[in-house]
Amino acid sequence: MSDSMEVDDGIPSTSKQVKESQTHNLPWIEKYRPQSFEDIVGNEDTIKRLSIFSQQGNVPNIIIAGPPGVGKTTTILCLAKILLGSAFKDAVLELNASNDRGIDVVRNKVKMFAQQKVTLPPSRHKIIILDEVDSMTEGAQQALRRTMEIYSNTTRFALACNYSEKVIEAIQSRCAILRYSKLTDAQVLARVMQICRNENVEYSEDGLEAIVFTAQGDMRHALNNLQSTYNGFGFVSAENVFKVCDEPHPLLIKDMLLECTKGEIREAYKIIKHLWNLGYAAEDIIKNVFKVCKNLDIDEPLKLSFIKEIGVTHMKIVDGLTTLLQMSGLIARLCMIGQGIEYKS
Amino acid sequence: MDKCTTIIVSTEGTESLTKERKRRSKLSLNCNYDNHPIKSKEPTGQASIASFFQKKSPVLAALNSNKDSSVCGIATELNGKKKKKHKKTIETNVGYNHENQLASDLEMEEDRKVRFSEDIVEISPEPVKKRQSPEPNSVKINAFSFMMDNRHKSIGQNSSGIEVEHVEELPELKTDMKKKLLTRKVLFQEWSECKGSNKRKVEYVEQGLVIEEKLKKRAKRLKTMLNINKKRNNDNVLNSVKSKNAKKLSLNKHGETNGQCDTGSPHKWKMKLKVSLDKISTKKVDVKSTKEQRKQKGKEETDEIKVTKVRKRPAIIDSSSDSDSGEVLSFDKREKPTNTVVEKKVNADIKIAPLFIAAKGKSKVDKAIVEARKQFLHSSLPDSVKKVIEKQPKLEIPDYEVFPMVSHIKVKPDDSDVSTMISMSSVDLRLTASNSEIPKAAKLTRGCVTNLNETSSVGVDLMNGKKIKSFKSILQKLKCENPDYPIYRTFKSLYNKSNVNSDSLKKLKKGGRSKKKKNDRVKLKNPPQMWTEMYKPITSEEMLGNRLAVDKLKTWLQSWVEMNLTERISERRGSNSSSDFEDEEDEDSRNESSLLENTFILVGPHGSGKTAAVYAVCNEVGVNILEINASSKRTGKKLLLDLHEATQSYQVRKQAALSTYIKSNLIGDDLGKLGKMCLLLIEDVDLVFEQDDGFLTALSQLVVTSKRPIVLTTNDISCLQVKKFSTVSFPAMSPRFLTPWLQVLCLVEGTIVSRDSVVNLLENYRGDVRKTILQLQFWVESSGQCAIRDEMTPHLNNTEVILGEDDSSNLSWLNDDGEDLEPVPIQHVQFFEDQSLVDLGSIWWNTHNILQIPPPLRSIERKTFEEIVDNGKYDIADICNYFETLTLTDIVYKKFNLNDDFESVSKITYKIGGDSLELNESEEPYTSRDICCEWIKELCNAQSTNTKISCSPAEKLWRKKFSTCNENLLEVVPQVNHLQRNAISLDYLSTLRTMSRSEIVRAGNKKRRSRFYNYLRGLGLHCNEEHFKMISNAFYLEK
Repeated sequence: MSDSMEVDDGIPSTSKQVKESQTHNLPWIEKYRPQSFEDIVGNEDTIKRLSIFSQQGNVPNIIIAGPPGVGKTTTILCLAKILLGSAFKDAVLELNASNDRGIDVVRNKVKMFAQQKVTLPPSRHKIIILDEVDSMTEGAQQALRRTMEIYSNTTRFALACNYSEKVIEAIQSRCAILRYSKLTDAQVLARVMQICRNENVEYSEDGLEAIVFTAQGDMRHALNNLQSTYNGFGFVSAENVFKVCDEPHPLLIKDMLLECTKGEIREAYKIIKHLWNLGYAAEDIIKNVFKVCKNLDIDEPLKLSFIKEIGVTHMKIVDGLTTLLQMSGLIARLCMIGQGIEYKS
Repeated sequence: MDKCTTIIVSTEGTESLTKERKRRSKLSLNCNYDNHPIKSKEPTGQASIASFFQKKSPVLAALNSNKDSSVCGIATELNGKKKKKHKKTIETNVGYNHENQLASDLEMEEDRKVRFSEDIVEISPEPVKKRQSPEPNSVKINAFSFMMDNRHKSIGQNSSGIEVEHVEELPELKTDMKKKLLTRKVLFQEWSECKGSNKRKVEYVEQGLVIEEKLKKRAKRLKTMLNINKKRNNDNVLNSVKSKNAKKLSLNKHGETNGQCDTGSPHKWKMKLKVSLDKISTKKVDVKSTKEQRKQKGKEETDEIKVTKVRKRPAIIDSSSDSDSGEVLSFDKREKPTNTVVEKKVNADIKIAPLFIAAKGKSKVDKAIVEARKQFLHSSLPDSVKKVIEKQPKLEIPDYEVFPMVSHIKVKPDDSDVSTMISMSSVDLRLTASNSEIPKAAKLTRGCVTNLNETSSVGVDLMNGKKIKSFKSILQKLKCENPDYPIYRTFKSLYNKSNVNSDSLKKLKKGGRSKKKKNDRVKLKNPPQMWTEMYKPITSEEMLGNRLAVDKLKTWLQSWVEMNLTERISERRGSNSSSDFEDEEDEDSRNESSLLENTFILVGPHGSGKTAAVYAVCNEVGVNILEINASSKRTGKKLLLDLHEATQSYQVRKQAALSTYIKSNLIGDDLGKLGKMCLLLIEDVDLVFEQDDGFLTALSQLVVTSKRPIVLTTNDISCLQVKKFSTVSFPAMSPRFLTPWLQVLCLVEGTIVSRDSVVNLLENYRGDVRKTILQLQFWVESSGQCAIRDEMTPHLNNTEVILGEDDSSNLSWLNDDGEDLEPVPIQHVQFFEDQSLVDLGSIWWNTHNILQIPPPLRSIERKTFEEIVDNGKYDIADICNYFETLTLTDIVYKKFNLNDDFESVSKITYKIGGDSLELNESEEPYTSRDICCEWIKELCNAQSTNTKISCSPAEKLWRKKFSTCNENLLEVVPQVNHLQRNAISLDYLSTLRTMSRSEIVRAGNKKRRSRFYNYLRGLGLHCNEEHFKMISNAFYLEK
């Protein structure tokens, strides 16, 4: 201990370095996890409401549903920390999918915790955080339902899930449901740029564009990609980003779609064949085609009919027809639409 | 000029032949090469040869040098120099052992020295002369360089640098080298003699014989293979074309010039035959054949050669002048890169190939002769070469066997059919480099593939809570909206609840309920509770909806309580001793309780108020509740253990004090002394987990033996246990009751909520009160309204007196100052941003919005269809597209079961208006065409009066019910008839409905099951009462 101190003393900017070395190993998603409601990006309305709750207490049971990487867990943790402050340790039970959450646990651990008495300021309650509720078995959820009601005077539940329909109705009936939507690209970009500044990450415009594109409104994805690109290459450029997250290149797909609008099936096919030869799965490709088409700069009606065709093809692919033929068919139909030819299916 | 060259070539040819005879293809090889690599750059021909040798692999070079060294004395200066160079290479690359062996080898063949020297002398002028023929030179250089490249590759030695060096040093070092070479040569000879070269010689010869035989076999195999390959690869090797041409050119020349010598060829063939026979005989001789034998043979051969020397030469040239020769050569060159061993063999074949090709090509040549010639030519490989072959693999690639010993391919060697058999039509597959054509992804720019350019401004506009001053006017307004609903009473009761002090709460609720409400914080006026707790019904009167069910429950419980009471009273009057109390009681109770059903099942979706109803009724009647829910382990054993006693004894818990509610009851007085009866509430009977084994059996046992009322709640009616008992259904509450109630609730909480919002909310949650309340709480409380509420309470406190007095539904109870007629600021709380998917079920109701049908033009009475199409921007294609989309989404929904209660388009039915007596009165399911027709009709008529059509929630519910009902019934109808809509709607469905209706009627009259039920069951339609009700009420629209 003393040795280390001495060593530290020898170097001038020790404390900073030590701090950096501590945080250095942290993934950025942990390092930059928001600690207060102000820092949480996106879904401002809901978060504003929750921040009001965090001041006055008496939060009803809530379910936060939304796609991954939009800050559900972060919100709940924030809320719990602000509500309970120093009592956070005693008054919060956090269970996520990594914990055993079978019927037994719900009947014993959760119930016991709900019955526990913890001294808390008025209008504050113990909080049981169940992350990823939709991954709980139905039985466990069923076993939970009456507990939620009976101990509602002392304990509140905060649940997070991706798909609210996977949570049984009975639980949903006992909670207020808050829905989080995907973050907008601008929100993701702003945050990514902020972190880039903090971490002194060199980046290029197209690199950030690529990060934002691959993230698709998933902040966690964006930060992970950013960090891995930075660690791997030291510079965030589009090329590096696409090396890290191996996806069908959006610009190729964009070219393809633009060729389709012109009705140039040969060129478009060349690209799709190329992508296919690169070994991307049909689902990967169709997903990216949709992503790109979403923001393609073409006529609205044309875009809509494109998306319709893409949707139909996606359905086929999900059904198991993951062949190049389907993709080629899609291209052909898109080209027909692009040329304004009606076709009879 | 021509003559000159031909002579030289001829000498070379003879030379090569003789060497072959003596199994010394080595030198012939060299000579072979000598033919090609004539370099005009070199100062002298000898120099060119030297440099050429230099380029060769060290081993080859060593051999050459050795041979040369043996001839050293006679050789020219240049030769000497060359030799010296090679010796150097030997020293570096091969080592002394090898050198010695070679030296001894050379010694053995001392007798041929003279001829060699002659040869060399002959050779020496050759290149000089050749150089003078400029025409093929350029081509030849190319061919040579190609060959040399291949050689370098195969041998793996890059000697080009040495070559350059050599060329540079050449003039200066001549004399030195000569001296050195001479001394070296002497040294070598001494060494070899010292080391017993004679003994070794014998060994080597023996080994050589063995190897020779092996090589012969291989050569044969290779030959056949070459034959095949040659045919296949005729056209393929473009690279060798040049060399081939060059070869051809030179050879053709020879052929032309020496054409006259052809006459001697037959004789030569004979000679050859002899030799081959000779050879066969020697082959048969044991491997132990001695050196002498070999020498003898050699001599024989040499003799023969001497005879045939001159004659044979033109023949070879003749055959090589055949056009095929070039191919063989080219093939040769291709083979070289593989291995040095291969190379040698192939080199040996260079001589052979033209021969047998010629034989094949010319039918006039005797096959036997060709065969013999081939054999002969193949058989001959000089010892030195053999040794090299033997050693090279050891040096370079020891474990690599080029030609497998066992050949699996058997091909007729010399058959004319072979070509047709094997020749395959060459498929011209072009390699297309498609990747190169793919445009490289250009640079990403911002907004290229994302919507970054859109600056999203998500404004958070939380409602600024305004102080609500005039409850009265708001209530008035509400009353106007819902004239049937007791707004004021509701307000009063809710207000009471919300304002109940913890003191009064404690006072009011000392029963079973108060245990749950832990109102520890006395100071707090409004203990933080969830609204569901705060506003839950305390008496059965407060229950919202499901009035019948609640009443039924209440009467049932009351009868239990009364029975219990009378028992107690009678028992108390009968005997005062508590000891025999229970024994007597048992028999009585059994008799009495058998009259009453002891089990009651509440069925309904979540949030419909089942548990609340039980608690409310129990609170009112004064019954304790023992609750068993799914949150605890409930195995059959545990259940029996815990509850058996409770169900068998009447007195479960004695309460010292009674709640005020019970006091108000008539029976309260007696009950107070006797203690409360206990009710067993078992929640969620349909939930049985694996660990709860025996739960159901235990439950049924309890139910059979219990002397206490048991209430079970369940969501799922299909649960087996449910069917045995009488059920009370708690359907989801209709928004009709709930909407004003919720509005009042929100008002009590200090927020004014518009009707629409509440209706939307309820619709969204399908009549789930609890959820709606919670959601309302969330939105109301989170909008920062609670502060306002505190402010407003004193204002209301003034009215408390009045509240107590008046409960009639007029305004008098409210503080009417007469002033508060100010306009009410109606605030609309936007509960949610609609993030969910578009409700496809409501598409039908909003077709006008979708199509944006303009407001009706009344002036135009009737437009023709065409006019509409022409005028409006909505053409048929649009409508069709819409419809296609609709059907597609329909399919998607159905396929993935996204939403159970999605009212799919195909389910939407419509009624054809008409007289009730008319036969064509029917309702049919919509098809896509129908909707389209409807839309078009609408368009044509332009009759729409509303800009927005919306069905009432009630109607929506009814529709849903109706469609599910119809679906149920349709299950019975044979599928063949499904397409006949008339038959279904007029015959099947109506009949089934009638049957179920009559079933209901009969069930009302009598307890026993009627025959209609049996009919239905016979059809395969397993309905219970619920279904019948639904079916019979299919047309009843609650309004």
